[in-house]
Amino acid sequence: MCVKKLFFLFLSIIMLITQTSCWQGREIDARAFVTAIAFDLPQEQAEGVQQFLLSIQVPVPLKMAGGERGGSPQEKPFLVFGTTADTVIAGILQLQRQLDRQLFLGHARLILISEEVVKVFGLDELLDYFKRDFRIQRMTRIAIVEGKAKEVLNIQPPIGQTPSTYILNLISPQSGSSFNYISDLGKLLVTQSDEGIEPVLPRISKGKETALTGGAAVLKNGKFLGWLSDFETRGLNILRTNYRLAQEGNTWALMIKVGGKFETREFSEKHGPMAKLTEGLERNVTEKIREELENVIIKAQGLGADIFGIGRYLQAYNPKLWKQLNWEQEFPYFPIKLEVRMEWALTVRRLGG
Amino acid sequence: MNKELRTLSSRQVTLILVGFTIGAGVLTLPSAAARVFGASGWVWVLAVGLLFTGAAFVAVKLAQEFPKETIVEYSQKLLGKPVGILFSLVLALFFFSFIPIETRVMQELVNISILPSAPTWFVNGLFILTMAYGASREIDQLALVNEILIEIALFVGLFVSILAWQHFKPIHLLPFLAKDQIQLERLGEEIGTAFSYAGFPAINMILPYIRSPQKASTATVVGTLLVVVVYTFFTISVLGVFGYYETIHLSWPGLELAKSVNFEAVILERLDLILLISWISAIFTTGVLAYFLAALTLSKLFGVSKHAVVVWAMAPLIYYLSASLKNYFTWNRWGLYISVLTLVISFVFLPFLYILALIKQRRQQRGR
Repeated sequence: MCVKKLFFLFLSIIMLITQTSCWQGREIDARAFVTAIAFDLPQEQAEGVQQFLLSIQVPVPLKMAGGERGGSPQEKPFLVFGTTADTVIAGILQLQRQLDRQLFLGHARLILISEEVVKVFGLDELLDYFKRDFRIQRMTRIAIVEGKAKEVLNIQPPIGQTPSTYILNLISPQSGSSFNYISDLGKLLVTQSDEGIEPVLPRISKGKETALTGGAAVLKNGKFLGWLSDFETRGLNILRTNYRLAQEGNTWALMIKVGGKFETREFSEKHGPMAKLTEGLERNVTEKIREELENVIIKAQGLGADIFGIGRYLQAYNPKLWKQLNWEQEFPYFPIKLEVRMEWALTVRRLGG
Repeated sequence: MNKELRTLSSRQVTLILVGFTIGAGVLTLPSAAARVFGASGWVWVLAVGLLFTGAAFVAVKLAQEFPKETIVEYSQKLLGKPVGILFSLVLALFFFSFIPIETRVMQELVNISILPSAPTWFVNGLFILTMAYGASREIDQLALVNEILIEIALFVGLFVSILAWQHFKPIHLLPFLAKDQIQLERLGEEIGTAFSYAGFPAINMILPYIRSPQKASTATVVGTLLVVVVYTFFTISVLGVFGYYETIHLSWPGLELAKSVNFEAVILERLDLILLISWISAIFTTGVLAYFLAALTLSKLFGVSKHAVVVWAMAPLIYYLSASLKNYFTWNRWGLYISVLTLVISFVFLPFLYILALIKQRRQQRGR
């Protein structure tokens, strides 16, 4: 009995020491939370070596507190610093050497990649680390920057204090702008590995004092192919809806049905009688939208990148046809027919001029 | 066997089978299924599951022929003593082989999420000690613990899967059974699926402890079917969210699923951690039941009156084996060996024993 008691005493002591789940516990103030990461090309490239400039953004908690004790408004509540490296992990280890707190990427929610660096390195090489690190969430948002990505990280947001949240909100659904293409790491990886669909990433550029959004980058096999304009991006957002495959003789065509409602919010000219207006307006809007959609289709076919997932649709619903096609060559010439129908959803506050 | 030992209710039996079967295997199952059957991987999971349900039915029918004995005893009656002992040893090996691999996967999960650099001796050592403590108890206590843990794990798993359905796209499950995506020559992955379904032979060990053995067949089939439903649903979720091409590249599809959803509440922001922590309890139930069953088989075989002695004697070996499974690829190979063993036991040994039992029964009837 005594042995048993001793054994349990011993066991309880061991448990007390070990079961508190604090193996190599790290205090929160010993960590530096990386909130955003940016890739650029370095200003001077050493000869014979391909390197990129990796910048990270780390919030400075003291200055974020605000109020009297916080820093002056001129002082930014975050730090951006960078290093040149040829792999992401080398860059992070390099940055770690300058910082007394451990860099923690578990909260990195934003990856900004400049257009130039995608052209030189390709997306796969830059993102490989983020696919493999367990701490990176698939909800991390990625954007392609027209210009320098590091400069975007340095923008002090007009409202609110953390710039990464500011940019994150701009390219999230909550931005409320149809010019934005909404994507994240998970969606990028899925579209990248799928056959018959090419990924698109939102565009960000630096305005005078704020960041500007709208537009998107078209990618293929990790390479940057070109930009979609604001309106083309809106077209893309509208288009991904209702596909139908139609056969006419020996040729196949894709029918895309687009239907929707529009509101009138502002008139720039005096308008005529109601009946005429309704008819004309619906026709005009339908035409306008058809034009926008046709533009983005022409653009994508010109770039040779199936950003609509038409190939994926064919593979899913007509695998036989898909096997016969060499989609790489077929897509630019594949007939796509649009069926657009817009209705005026009338909510009227004021009639007449 | 005295009457007081019959303590397990039908519900507990079902949950023991669920708890024992669902463990580490399901975390990698969708990838393996996608590699074999492409975008229709869930069909494979479902088909294999139904096959195993059939095998489970045979196993429980066999057990019901001898309601007062475990398989260790009646296998010797049916096969003769030497072969019967050999068979029981294989069965003990089968139960035993789960423990190191479950321990190792658990360590991996802890290392990739909660305690990144905690050493093997700490994580595995504590886990094995906890399992040994649990396994040295009696089956009724284990059944209670199992009931609580597996329900929590399944609830969280279901919760994460349902949340992830916001990214679900039906097109990812198409084309249905496309010929060029079905790669039946991938034997490794096919056999590996069996690892996730191995579990029902437990019924042949625990039947003498069930309150009403005549209801055991329903409980077993329900338990196995529940596992099939959970696996199929999970595979459909993973394939529907990621698509076939992405799924085959994922080593932990379940974790990736949790990483792609966000629940806007502070503590639940890292959903993958919540899933991991609760999944460790699913792994624990598999490990502890395997441990108990292995020890029970061996103690019955060698006439050790207390199975707890066997439990503690096995602990160092389990530690050694779990530490020797170096990485993902090593334990996947180990899982493959277990799968082969599972297939042999489920589809050869148990049906064979059942046929023998039927023949014997008929002879006895004729003899009368």
